[in-house]
Amino acid sequence: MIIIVLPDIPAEDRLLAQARQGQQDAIMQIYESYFPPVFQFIRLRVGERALAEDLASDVFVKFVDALQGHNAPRHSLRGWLFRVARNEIHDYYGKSRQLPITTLDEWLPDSNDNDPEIQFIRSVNADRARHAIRMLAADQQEVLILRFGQMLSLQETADILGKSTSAVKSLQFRAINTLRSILETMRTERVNG
Amino acid sequence: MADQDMLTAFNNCIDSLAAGNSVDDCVRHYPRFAPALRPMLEAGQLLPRAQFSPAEIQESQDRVRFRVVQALSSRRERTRSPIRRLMPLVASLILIFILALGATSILAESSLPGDTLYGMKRLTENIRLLFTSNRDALEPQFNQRRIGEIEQLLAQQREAVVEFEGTVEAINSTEWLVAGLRLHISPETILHASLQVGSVVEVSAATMQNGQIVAVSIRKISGEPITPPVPPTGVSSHTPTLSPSPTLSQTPTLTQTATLEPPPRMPTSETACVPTQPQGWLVYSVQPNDSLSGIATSTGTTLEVLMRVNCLTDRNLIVTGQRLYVPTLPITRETQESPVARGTEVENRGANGGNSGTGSSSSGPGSDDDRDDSSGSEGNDSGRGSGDG
Repeated sequence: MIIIVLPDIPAEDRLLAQARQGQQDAIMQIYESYFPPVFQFIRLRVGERALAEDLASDVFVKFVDALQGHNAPRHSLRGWLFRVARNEIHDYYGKSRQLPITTLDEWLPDSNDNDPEIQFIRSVNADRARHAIRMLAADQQEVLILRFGQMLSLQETADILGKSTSAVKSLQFRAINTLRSILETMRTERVNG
Repeated sequence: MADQDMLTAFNNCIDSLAAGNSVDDCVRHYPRFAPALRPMLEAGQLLPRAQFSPAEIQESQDRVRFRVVQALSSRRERTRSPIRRLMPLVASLILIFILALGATSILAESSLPGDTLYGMKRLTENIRLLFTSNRDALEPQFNQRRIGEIEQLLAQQREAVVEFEGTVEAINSTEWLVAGLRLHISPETILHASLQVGSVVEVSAATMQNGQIVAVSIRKISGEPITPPVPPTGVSSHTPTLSPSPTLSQTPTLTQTATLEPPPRMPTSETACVPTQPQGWLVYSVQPNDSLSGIATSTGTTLEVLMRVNCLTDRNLIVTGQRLYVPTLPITRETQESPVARGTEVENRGANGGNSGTGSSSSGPGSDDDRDDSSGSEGNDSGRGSGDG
């Protein structure tokens, strides 16, 4: 399992302050530290690698431009970067890029550890996992990547997605259950096929 | 709608997983929800599993870094020019200011590119240039400081955007020697006009943590190759010349490449020239509308070298389909004429896609992933326009 650890908040604020003073060391340090999580976020959403690189490059070039135009963020650098990354993806694909999956909010079968569902989930490899994740609606992908993938807090995720914390709570719940239903489809296809 | 306690329990468990606990650790606290929570949290485990490998991320990070450095360096160019224009007007005022802040500027003297006080150092220099009667002596002296700074940055393994002037001392496909510094030429380096050994150039570059200097752009500042006004003091005792003798082998740092790049020589009196493929060079098939000088520029070499290696005598005579030895595969340069091609992003993207299309060095691995993606995105496209859930 690969977890990308972001710099802690005090370190992030220090770096951001230095970057705002125009220190190139700090700007490049921000690039080195924040590219992996930002790229991971974009890459999971975007199929083509070259496109993901272009979008990620736009995020950091925008950051450099923002520093120049003195409209760079004053705090929560990570929130700013993820927000811009999200906007880049939306601008590229259009906001409504999603599958017409019928809502399955209440789809909650009982299960235990020997459950074939859990066993199947554990057997899913990275490629199939990505495939399943990309079948979710945009905001559902985002919330899962930020909460489970990047391990951001509820508040941070809410800031990035521009939603209230209670809306994020519902969204992540809906998202995970939609993901389960997609996995369930994959499992039954495998069993029957 | 699922009840609030369930939403909260699920949310707390996500935080618990983020803190490094297991699924069981959290589910235990919510016996009532355990059967429902467990498969949800298991499904959440797919997110970390779906992440791309650090090696792949690193590769992309290395590719994109250049564009960020380029943005940083063009930012410097944009911000610098108005100051230059205003300089004569406010110079006297600034001079007084500088005198008042003498102590600060002394501190600034030892600063490096990227430091807060570095701007002050450069400003002090520019003011000295403005008031000096001996500009010709000061300028090379200041340029020498630039080169000294770069060496310090490299020694300290710091990343910074740097600029300096110097004479091109050697040209290899991916590495040039300018003013005693080895410059790494990436496929995205912008090479202005025809450059050759002996050209006096202005270099914009970035120092990397690995001790490399990556060239962002190289621009010729004097039309004809001349002997540099002041030989670099202390850095290199080697004086670049244009004489046809293989002077490059005297450069201690470039001995291994010297055989690849003897100084350019027009093959006028050659008796029998046989094209031989230099080590590391590739075969390129001439495309319609190619020009020899265009190929030279876009492959990071010079017309003369290209002609000599390929035994060409007429610079205007190449035909479509003709096979040439080139240091790297040519890359279309049109979009890079202005260093900041930030005009329209779509254009940018197109250009980048084009670059990877030439297949010079970009993504080899991950192709099977992309195959998987294409089916996924087709599925998604079909759902475009449907309302939010």
